[in-house]
Amino acid sequence: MKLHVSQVSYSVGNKVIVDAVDLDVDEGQRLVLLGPNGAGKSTLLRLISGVLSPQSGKITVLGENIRDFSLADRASTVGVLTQRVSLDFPFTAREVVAMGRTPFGRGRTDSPIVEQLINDLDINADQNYLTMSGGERQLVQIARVFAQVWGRGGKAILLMDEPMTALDLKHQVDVIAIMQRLASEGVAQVVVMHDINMAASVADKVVLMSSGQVVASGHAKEMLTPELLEQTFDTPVTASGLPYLKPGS
Amino acid sequence: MAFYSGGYMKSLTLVLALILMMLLALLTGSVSLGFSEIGKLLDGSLEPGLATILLDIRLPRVLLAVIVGAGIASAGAAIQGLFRNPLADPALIGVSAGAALFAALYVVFGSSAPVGMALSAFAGGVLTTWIVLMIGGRGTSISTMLLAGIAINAIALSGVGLLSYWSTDAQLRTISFWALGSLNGADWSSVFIALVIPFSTVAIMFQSQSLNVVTLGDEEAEHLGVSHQKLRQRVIVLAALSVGVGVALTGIVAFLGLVVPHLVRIMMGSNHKVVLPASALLGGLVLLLADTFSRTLLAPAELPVGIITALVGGPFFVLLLLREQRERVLV
Repeated sequence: MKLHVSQVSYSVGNKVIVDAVDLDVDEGQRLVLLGPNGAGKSTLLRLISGVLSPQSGKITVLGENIRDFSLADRASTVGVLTQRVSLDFPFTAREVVAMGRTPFGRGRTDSPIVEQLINDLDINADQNYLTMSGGERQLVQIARVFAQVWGRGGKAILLMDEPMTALDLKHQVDVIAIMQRLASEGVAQVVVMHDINMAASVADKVVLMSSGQVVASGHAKEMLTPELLEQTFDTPVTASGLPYLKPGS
Repeated sequence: MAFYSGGYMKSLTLVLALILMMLLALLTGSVSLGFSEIGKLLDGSLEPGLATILLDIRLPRVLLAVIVGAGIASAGAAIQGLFRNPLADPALIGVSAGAALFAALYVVFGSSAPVGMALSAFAGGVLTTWIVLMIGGRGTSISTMLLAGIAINAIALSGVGLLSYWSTDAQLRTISFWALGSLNGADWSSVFIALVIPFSTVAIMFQSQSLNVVTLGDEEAEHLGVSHQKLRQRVIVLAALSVGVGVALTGIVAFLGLVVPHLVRIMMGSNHKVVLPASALLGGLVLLLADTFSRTLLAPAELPVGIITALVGGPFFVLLLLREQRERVLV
């Protein structure tokens, strides 16, 4: 078990944000967290990443409590894409991607890993980050996090909070291809998503969350039913068979 | 092609420009000298009076301008990266205002001896920075720290105002001149004290990659193995040392720590491995240029150098902002 979350709770004041959550992710497995806004998905990711400490319960990564990791060990084990990146300096895209290599040296911009990700994701490496669109910036940040876990295989886990939100279809496909490659190398992944159809096509396992609790978890086919989705999102859902287009050939 | 390219050529140009400016500054002044005098100085045939002017009056002043300018500008660059705000200034950590308050305290309740005033100013700069760090340094939010800096700044400056109100005319004149900045008091002993600055400047440069990463956000930096709290403490102490010693020796030099790093980023991008050394070079060059003007424009009288840096730096900065705004709109 690469990632094991057991009975983890987290509250701020009287408000319970994450409530006795259990989850497991195996080597190379991809878990997708689905749920309404405010369900506690992002907080759960922050707990797993080690920046927040749970009030009760335990999170182990590669068998060790995440709170016992040194900052350096955490950085070389857990790659995290948050929704909170705020970059207001004119770095080049290449420099931003290279920041992902910081745990393994001094973030040299001439790393072959950086170059390969720039090519695979079709990033304009020398463009000023500040002149990029929201989607382009998102892609650069994703590449930075990929660079961090690249080549680490079973020794790394990858946490991504809504990576696809601002991406166009082609770049979604490119990103999924790299996520698949990382999975085949053994990188366990937890991804927060809002697109249910996208979740269906990429998830090995789906966890439905609502009000800080796990509503249900299991294989995508068993989870993405109108009944469970309605219970999770508190809104009527019908399976129309549409949209029937999904990325990939 | 990068949107900024040829970083090495630009750095080399800066080094050459700085050396050239140092030579020009040595030769410019009430007694105008030529390159031949430097040749004579080197082979020992220069008359003693001119040698004294060159070696004991102009050279220490030139060196002090370069060292203090380099220290303030590179500290400014580091503070901007740390606060993730290209418009931040070393003054935000309280160091200049604290130095001004303690300099004024010394003048009003002590004497006007320059050494005592410099020591007092330095102590004040370090003390206020420490208070700002205590209030805002432990929290997780960088804005707490920024707001603490603003509040401490306001308190210290109101203290300066109060002291100015109480002071005699002569004391008031000393306080205001100090607040406007001047390299008039430069001698070899002040150059010697200023040698602390290159050490803290180089120590800041060792934080380059951490500063790069922290621009993404505190939490993001942590995910990449950089403790933003430790980085904050380190950079602020080093910046307070650079700026504190500089301000103690020369008074407050306005705008240098804000404009120079900004200019460097426009020319060379944001990588702190380039921005920090380039800011040091350009900061030294700009303060030297401003000081040379300050002692020659109204010769034999001297203008406070802070007036020149603010008078030229202010409008120049507005031009930069407008230019940048236009470019962002175009993109």
